[in-house]
Amino acid sequence: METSLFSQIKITLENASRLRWLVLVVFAICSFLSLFVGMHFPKVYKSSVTVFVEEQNILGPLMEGAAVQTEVAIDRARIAKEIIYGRTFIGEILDKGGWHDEEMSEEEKDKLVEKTKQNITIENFKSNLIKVEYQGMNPDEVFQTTQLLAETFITESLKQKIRESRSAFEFIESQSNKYRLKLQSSEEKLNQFFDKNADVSPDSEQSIIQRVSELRTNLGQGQQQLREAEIRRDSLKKQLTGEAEESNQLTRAGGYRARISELEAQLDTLRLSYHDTHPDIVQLNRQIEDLRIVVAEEEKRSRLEKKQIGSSAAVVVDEKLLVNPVYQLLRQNYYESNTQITTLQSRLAQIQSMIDQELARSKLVHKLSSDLIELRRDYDANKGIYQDLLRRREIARVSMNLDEEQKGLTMRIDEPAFFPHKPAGPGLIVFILVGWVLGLLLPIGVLFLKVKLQNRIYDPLFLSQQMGLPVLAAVGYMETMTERRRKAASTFGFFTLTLLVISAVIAVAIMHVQGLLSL
Amino acid sequence: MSKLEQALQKADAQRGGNAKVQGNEPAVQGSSAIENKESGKGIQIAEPNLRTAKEMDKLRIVCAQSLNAALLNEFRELRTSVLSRVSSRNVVIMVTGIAPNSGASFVAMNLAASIALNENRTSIIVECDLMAPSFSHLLPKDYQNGLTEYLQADDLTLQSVIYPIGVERVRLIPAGKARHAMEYFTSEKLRQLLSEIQNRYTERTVIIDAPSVVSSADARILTSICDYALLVVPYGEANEEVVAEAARAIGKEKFLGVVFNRVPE
Repeated sequence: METSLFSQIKITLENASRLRWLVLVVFAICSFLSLFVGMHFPKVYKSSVTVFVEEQNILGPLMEGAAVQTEVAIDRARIAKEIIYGRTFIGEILDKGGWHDEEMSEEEKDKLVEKTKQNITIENFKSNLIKVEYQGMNPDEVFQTTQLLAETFITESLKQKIRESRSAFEFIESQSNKYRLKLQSSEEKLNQFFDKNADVSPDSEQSIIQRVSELRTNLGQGQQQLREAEIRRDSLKKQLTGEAEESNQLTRAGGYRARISELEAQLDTLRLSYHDTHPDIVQLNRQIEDLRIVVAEEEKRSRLEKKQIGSSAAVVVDEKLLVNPVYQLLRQNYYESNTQITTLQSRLAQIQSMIDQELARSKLVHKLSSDLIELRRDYDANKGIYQDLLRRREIARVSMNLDEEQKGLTMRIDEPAFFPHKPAGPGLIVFILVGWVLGLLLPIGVLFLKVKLQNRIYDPLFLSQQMGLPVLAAVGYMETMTERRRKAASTFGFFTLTLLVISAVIAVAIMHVQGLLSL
Repeated sequence: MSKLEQALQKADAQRGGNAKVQGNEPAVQGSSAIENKESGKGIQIAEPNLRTAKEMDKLRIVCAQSLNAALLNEFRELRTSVLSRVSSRNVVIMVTGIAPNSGASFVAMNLAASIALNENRTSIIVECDLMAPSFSHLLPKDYQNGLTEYLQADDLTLQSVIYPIGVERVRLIPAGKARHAMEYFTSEKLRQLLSEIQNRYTERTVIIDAPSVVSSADARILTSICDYALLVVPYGEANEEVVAEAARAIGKEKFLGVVFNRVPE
């Protein structure tokens, strides 16, 4: 059956009004029960302390770069929890507070630690305030514990800071020592290298190249000279051969021609004084003619000889030739060239060997210089790191000193622990109110559920519209006068009793608070 | 309130409610009754000890001067609806509840009273809820016989079991003293009785106050005897299934309608 929530509530309230006495009974029971519970609710006392963590103190900006302040991290509550919830910390608190009984077994101690842990709450607000709260049944104990918590927390935090910066310093120092050794070893290596390869310097390679190029130029020049000398020698050789032939020919025909010339000279002289018909002159002419014929024959013969002997035939050096001055000169030159060629050849071979040497040396230098570069690199890297570490070590030292002298102190108690006079937690009034609300909601809720679940017909329209039954009339309940009067009296009684219940609850509560009543 | 009713009230007030006892029910043959039938004036039957409005209020019966005007109007509407739906002037209407204590007797009585508000109409209630009769407080202290006695004995006259109850034009046949009388309802004598009382006046409505139709076999038998049946459904006490079952038990032909009872104001 579909009924709107509104009408369901309305029907529920109607039912509640009909069953008001039952509702009142439930209300009264709930109120008194709740009051009773409130009166016997364990009293919990709470005290808290607020620790202020300074974001930055005056030393901060001054020491910036030179010292690193150990930060108390961003999530300070987490750090605080880590410290406070630590077993040792709580154990320390319990020892200091004297709550560790000597007769306690380890198990009991564990339990006590766990219990204490549960009673501590840590909050972090405004990012630099840490609130540590402690709760317990005994106000004295709560106050003392809270104080102890704050003090121990601060000293513990500072100790931790010191530990942290000291360990940082120690670490950096150990690292710098390591690097100093490394640096020393690479220095040694470098020295050894230089000792071994004294002549190897970065510019030796350059000089080798220069020398090689000089040698190459010399080599080139030498080769050129050699070629020239060879050409000269060859041409001298040729000339020597040619001169021999020429001399052979010249020897006979020349003789004849010389004779001819002499005769012609005589002829000319005679002609100055005589006619051509002078016998001397005629004779002379005949002689000249004969000689000419002889010359011609000689030439002819030599040509024939040449043909017969051929060009390959060795020059037949005539004895006469040896006395030929040109030949002599040529031969001298020829021998000189030969000597020059030999000299040049030996020089070139020397130059070539020098070049080879230089090149071999260049290879060696190249290899050594790459070794040197590596050594230098190692050395430079180690040196850089070492210097950096040294700087950092000094920074760490200052930081450590700061922390040790507590100049970098960044924590103080902002709000000290207070003595809890009043128990925390819900007061009696809350219990009373809860009882009243529960006393009302419980029966009404049950009635509401009943209306919802029983699905009864409350609306005549349902009969006519959903079930199709004609509804002729919807009649009310006819109250008689007596009933009306009785109802009025009952209503009055109901309200009076309700008031009575409420005032009784309040009265009991007040008496309890004043200590006049303890149930 | 009709003018007729107002006049009636006035006359009633003048009479001071002290009408003389002249017998329970005038005989059918009685001249006044015949006169009535013909003249069409108000029925003049003897009305001993008419009750005042206050008394009626106490007895939870509506009357013209009722202090509870809203309820009076509701019953008038019911009366009008019922009479507009029935086929003849003289009908037998059974009033039954979906469960015991649904207020069927209350509805039956007030329907009878509201029908009789019209001075041309009379009504008679036959109390058939033998297990839980609810009208004994309306009867005289010396009352002897009721329906069961009449059906049982042969020597009792009908007149001797019809009682005036102090409400104008309303008569009652009480259940009688015997319980468990189911077998009487099947007897022919009951039919005869009903038809006799039904036809005694021109405009008479017979109202049977029956037990719950769902839980009682009596009511089912009575369903077959009556002309129409009214089903009383109390507010917030029945669910759909029960109402549907009751409607089925009555049957479509005789089902006149539902009266939704005890609706809070």
